[in-house]
Amino acid sequence: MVAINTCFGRLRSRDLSRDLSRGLTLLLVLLLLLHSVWVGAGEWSYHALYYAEGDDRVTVEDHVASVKHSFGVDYDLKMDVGYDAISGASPTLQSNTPVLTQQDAEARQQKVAEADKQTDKLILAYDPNGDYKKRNVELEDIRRSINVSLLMRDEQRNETTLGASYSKEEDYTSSSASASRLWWADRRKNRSYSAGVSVIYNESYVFSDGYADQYIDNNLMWDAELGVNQVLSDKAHVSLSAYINHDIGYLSNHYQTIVRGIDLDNNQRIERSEWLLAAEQRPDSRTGGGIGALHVWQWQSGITSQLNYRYFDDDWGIASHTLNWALDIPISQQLTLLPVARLYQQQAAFFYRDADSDDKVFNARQYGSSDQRLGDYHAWHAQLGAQWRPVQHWQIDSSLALYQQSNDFSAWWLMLGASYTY
Amino acid sequence: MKTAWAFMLSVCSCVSLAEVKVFYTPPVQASSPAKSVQTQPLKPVAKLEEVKPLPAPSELAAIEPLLGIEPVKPWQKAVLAQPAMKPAGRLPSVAKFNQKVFSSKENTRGGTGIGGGGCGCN
Repeated sequence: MVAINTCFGRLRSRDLSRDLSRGLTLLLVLLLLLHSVWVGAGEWSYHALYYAEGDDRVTVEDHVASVKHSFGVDYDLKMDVGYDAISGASPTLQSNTPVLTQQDAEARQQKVAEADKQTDKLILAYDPNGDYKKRNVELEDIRRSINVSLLMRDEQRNETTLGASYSKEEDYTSSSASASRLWWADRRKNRSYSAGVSVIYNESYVFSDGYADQYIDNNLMWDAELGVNQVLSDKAHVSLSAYINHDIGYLSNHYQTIVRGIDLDNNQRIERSEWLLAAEQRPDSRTGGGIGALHVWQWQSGITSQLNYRYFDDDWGIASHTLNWALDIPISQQLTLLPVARLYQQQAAFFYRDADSDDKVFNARQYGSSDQRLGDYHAWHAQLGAQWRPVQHWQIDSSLALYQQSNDFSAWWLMLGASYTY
Repeated sequence: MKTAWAFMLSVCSCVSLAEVKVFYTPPVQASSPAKSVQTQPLKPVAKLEEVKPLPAPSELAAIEPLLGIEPVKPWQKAVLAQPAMKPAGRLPSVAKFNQKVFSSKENTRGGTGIGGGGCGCN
């Protein structure tokens, strides 16, 4: 009994010392953090975004809290946590003929079963009139995210940045890791070379049997980028970059639907009565890349211009040009206006067909999508931002943006936020 | 007894807090002729890591004027160090929000990843 008590006593004292040691370690870390905050420099910020699409489609409320802290001049730590609430409706093709009777429902199910025998693609529904129209399907989701990055500088002030992020929605999880390096080419630090790589692993729920069942599928997205930055004068610098990316896995959007024509009566002809609603299917891999250029120049008036161009091309047939021009106009010591104009032009993916066109029907085997975002369109974006610094260390940010695509999609968003620097 | 301990403690505290002065007294010169003593060369306490210096100015200095590049000295970089000159601009959070919208509504991937060097002030 004494032995047992002694044994418990030792255990208790071991637990106590372990707790004490943990407590001390925690206290030390807290003190170090407090010390770092006290002697270091950094920024705390909070920004909120309200985003709304035209035609009463999706609205998003996005909240991001960030902290950036410099530990001396060698380490910068950044962390942000985000919370998005998405609600509204997204347009997808649906059967336009209502199901009237149980017999009608069973007949439609019979057609879907017949189509399933002729294709390995996912067939979702059948409309006896072949009348499929875009309808808004309601959606609601909450996304939580966290991003962390650590920048480290060596003796020659070359920079290594390591990053990681994680986000979770009800039907989607994403994790990523990245590493990048910046090398100075000369002692005056007028030219630098950079290289970076990142990988994203996504998991999403996918419909497997009509809308009845779901399973988890995944994809992997690789990105690599090389860049060079050159100081042109004491008021201008330019950056050039080349980038490639490779995605592999499930790359379709399981909410998006298409119309497939399947020869149900085997008469070598597809009639309207043989049109079925199916899940979209994109290729399982995508490789793309492009080049980018950024020119930053402060004029004599103190206004700073940032002109950015990006070209992209991939093996899905998508090619795009992006031109972005941003100005930084100081109005007073406290106030700066920040107008932005952006033009975008995109060429369609080879497997895209417009859901509103007569040529919207895919055959039983080919890849297919009617997602507008894979289509041929151009877009413009105009934004006016402002930064107000009422007192030292504090700044208030605001921004209003309008976005319009040539395919009638439009959106606007308003951002408000505040930052404290120390 | 307690008073004695308190006195000792206060004396020790005062000594430890007092400024410590070191007086150097040169050795008394002996009348006999000085003997030559062989001394060992000083050994470094710790080997410092040698940092290979970067070229200054640039290795491409000869062709830089042809490309419209002016040589800029570190003390001329006040403007380049301003937040407005950084690739993400004065409001990086706005640029991040915008990028979120564009990447969800457009099908271009990449090309926004790596920031430029800018002023190299840190």
